Amino acid sequence: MKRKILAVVLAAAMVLPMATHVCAEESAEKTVITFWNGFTGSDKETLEALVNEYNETNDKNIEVEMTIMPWDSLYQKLATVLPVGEGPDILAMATERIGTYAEPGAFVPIDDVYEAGIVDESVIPETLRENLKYDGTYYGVPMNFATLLLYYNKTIFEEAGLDPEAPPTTWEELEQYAQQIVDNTDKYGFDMAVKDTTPMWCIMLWGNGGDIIKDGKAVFNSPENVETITRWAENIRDKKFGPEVLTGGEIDKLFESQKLGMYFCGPWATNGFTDAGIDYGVAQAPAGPQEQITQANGVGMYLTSSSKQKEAVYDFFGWWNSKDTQVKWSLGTGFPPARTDIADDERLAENLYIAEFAKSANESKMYLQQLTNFAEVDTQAIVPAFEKILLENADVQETLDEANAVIESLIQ
Amino acid sequence: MKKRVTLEKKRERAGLLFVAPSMIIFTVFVFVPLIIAVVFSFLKFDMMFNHIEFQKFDHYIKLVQDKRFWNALFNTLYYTVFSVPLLIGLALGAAVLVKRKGWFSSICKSVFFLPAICSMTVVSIVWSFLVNPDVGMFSYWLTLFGFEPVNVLNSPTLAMPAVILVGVWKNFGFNMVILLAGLNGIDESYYEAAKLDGATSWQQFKRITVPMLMPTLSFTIVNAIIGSFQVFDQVYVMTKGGPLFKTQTLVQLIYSTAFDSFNMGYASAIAVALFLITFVASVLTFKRMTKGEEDLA
Repeated sequence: MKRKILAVVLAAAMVLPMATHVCAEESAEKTVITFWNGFTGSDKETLEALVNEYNETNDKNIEVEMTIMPWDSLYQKLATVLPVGEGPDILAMATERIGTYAEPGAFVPIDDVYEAGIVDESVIPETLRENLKYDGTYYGVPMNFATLLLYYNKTIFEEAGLDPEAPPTTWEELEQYAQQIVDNTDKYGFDMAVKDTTPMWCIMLWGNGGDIIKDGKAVFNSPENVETITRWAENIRDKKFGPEVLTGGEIDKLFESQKLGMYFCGPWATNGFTDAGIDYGVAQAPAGPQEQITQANGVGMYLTSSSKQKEAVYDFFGWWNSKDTQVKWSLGTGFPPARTDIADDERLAENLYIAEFAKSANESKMYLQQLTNFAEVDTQAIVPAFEKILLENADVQETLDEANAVIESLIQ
Repeated sequence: MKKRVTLEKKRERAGLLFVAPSMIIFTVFVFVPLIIAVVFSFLKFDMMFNHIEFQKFDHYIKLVQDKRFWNALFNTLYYTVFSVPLLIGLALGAAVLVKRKGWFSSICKSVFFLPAICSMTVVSIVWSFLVNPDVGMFSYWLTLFGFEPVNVLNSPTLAMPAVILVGVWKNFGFNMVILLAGLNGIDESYYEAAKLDGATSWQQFKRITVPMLMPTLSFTIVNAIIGSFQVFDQVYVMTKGGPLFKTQTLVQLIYSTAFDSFNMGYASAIAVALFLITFVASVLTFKRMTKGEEDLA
């Protein structure tokens, strides 16, 4: 008897969710739009709160159903859901991947979102604006915009006998400070991650007047780059400034466990490091021989070809890029706002770092944009080149020549 | 007379019904995808399945010239050649040891089997932490003895051995249990007779255990070979195929070609090649094993 009851209960438990699902669908005439992104870090809470706020306050009865997953699982899922039209309405991802999805038609052109004035293109930071386009057509609206700054650990600075309020401003100072940290403490001085990371080496390449792809041609093996990479590879590998070939996750962990004095990172790390009780500061990237410059990166939101809810999606796009939402997003995460007209908003003064990150917007470049195979260029040519040089002490000129040929074959 | 035929037919039908579920699953999830993969390997299309072009044998020609493919094949063979003997050897040794009765062998049995029930992803993450040069426990122990910790997973020479060891550590318990079942199936009287004749333990192992265990052994060996040709999880989690593609196996290459580069056609061609290689290797091993069994019989 008991068994029978159990069986009935279990059967009911299986059927019940279906029943409620049907009910829910009938009762409300909500427009549900799905939104996938990879904000799994400390910015997750702010994002969830904002989306909830939108769901409760928007007057068009739109509900955004958001799914947050790690970026790499997001990219994997897309390959199977987009071709069969089962993808989300809105996707967020870094702008360097637009071409990969726009070219085969998985993203839909959205010039009309700007023409209708739903999102104001004139307030988007210029570097970001150009890269929300592919082939001259808009595919995305801003989700966030960030630049990398030099994070430095003040406790380690003091331990090494350096002034914790005077971070390095040039390459020479950076080298000298890193050396001093390595000599006087048991910590690492300075490092740059190579793979699965926001690009860091490009800051050095650009600072010395080099680049990777210029005007549609691979220029990875330029004399400037050979000089830059030789110099910094020697610093990291031979002078032991830090471990060779770290991933983004590893270098964050090193800094968080107070074993690394200085590294480049974006605003997303500020909350985590503050919570971890680290006494750190941020400073503009030290100037290279040619230029003081840093890497900028942006995440855009895109309308996918799977979506049948364009109006609702546009409404959310507009709301996300409104002044109020941007201020709240900025305060919650430490990202500078993706609008240039609210930099002096009083509310933003609460967060010390926002202004510092916003400052470098004009002295920044974005990494490997406008390609249809960004991921391949990065993982097949650039990462292996750095691995060869740092791990196997390979000849810099030869390695870059080889990598340059690979890039050339991938972008032609 | 008539009745007997229907009875036989009935039996036949019942038999078909019994195998139907597994045949249906096999057809839907193995056979059909296999055919589709073969078809895909001759086609080129973009992520959205547009611009489908017939490629003839272009993908296979590219395959033969692709140094990444040969590199991945070499790495897969490297993994197989070292992991299979280690895995089976350890599993057999452990099985013989824990076959004895008593609380200690019971504990050992559980401990050896424990990794087998964990997910490979979890195991890989745990090991990545253990060997991490900055926060890992092993590295800490190394420094206690005055050694400089090595970033094993970042070393072009040490990464593959590390991946192999993790695979062996995770899987030998499972093979041990299968072999143990085989061992328990061997009649004690053979050993008693051998002992009476004055055979040493080694002679007993060589002349009784191994031959009697042959069917089970050949199953575990073929299984291990197939498994190592398809190795992916721990590589994906621990090294992502790096450093410098030194741990990139065939399945990892298929994965990155299909899901990073969105080149499904070429990925399918590599998959077909892997299928053929695995097929030939399994058939050869099985043949050799059954021949071994016959010789011993």
